[in-house]
Amino acid sequence: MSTEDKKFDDFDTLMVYLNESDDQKLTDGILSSPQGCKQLEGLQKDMNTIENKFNEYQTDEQYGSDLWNKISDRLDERAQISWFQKFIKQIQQPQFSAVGLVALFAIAVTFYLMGHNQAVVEIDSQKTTNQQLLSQNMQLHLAQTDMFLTQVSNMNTQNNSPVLIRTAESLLASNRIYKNAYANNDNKRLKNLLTELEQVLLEVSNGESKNSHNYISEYANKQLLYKVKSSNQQLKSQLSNQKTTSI
Amino acid sequence: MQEIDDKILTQAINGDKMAFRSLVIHYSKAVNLLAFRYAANKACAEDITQDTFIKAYKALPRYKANAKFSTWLFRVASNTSIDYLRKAKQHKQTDSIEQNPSISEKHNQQINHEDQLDLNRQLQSALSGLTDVERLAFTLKHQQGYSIAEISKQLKINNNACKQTIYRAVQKLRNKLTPMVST
Repeated sequence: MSTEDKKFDDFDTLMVYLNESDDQKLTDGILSSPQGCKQLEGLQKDMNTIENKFNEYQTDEQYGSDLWNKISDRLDERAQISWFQKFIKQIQQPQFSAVGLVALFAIAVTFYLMGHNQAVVEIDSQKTTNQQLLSQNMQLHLAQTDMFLTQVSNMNTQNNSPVLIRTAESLLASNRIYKNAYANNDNKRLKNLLTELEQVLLEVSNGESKNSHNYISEYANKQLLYKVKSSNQQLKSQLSNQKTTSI
Repeated sequence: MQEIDDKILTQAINGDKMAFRSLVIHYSKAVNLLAFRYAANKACAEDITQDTFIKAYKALPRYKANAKFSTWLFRVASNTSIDYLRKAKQHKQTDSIEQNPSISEKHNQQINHEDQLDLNRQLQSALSGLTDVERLAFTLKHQQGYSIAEISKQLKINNNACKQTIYRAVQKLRNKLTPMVST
């Protein structure tokens, strides 16, 4: 038997027929050989016969309709998809995708603003609390100063008692603190009062001369005492209003 | 195979049941034949066909028109068949008509004509001589045009085993269905 008449392996022939051979040289050998072509032809013929047998396989003419009758009741499950799946499917449609994006953006912005506003409210609330505390302390300071000035103004003669001086020094220190605390406040009247009080308290704490005592008595009697009392009253009413509002 | 009208297909995708009915009637025989090739049994093929169309109905919204509908549907049928045969194997059911009287009985009830009975029996006998894997590999390659790599992946076997499986299937079918082996 010559090389050209050599029978090729059926497996190799089938792989060439199916176009799945890994060996290109063998493929070329089969395709260029008369025996290889004869084997491929035979294989082709048999495969056609097999395929024709399958194509002769018969089902009833009404098979499609019968099949539909069997499965139609089982198709309703498709309608039972969840709202979330529907929503996802909807926003995946090209015409809805932009709307979906806008909706998501709007939701995100809403949540951001809600969070932001909550933060602002929290900051405002903190500020209000601080302001209330300052006003309460300021009111206490004014009440003490009121008592002190009343005492000083009631003295007929100069009295440089150490107790008075220490009280003046203490009130002076507090006064300076409140003056700084109210530096950025809009209440000009209160700021001016604290400045005036500082001068008077400074005079007393330094051990006043006879002239200065007269000045303090006169000043305290005529102007400062009145201002302290009215400011104190004003702060008291403000605080009571704020408490009512917060309740 | 002639494809169904695009309009009907679009209506079916949008959930129109009557359009889907048309689709079932149009493709049912082709799907049933494919299922029969895989299962080698008419009753099993009937079950696979039903499952295929139910799965297709549910998956229809995901169908993309970049492939022919018949290609997509046959792919669903192939996957359904593989699943069906795996489950059948798990339940220790045999696919041989001789070994399973209940399926044989079911089968016989559905055949009316003597000629058809002979042909179908001949086909069934030939296919029953193949193992599940041989039938699946042969049909996926010869009828569906899958590559060896794709079939290997589907059947979870290596490429060489896949080639040998197809070869064995072809040899068995040639012996059974062709009057004389040509090689």
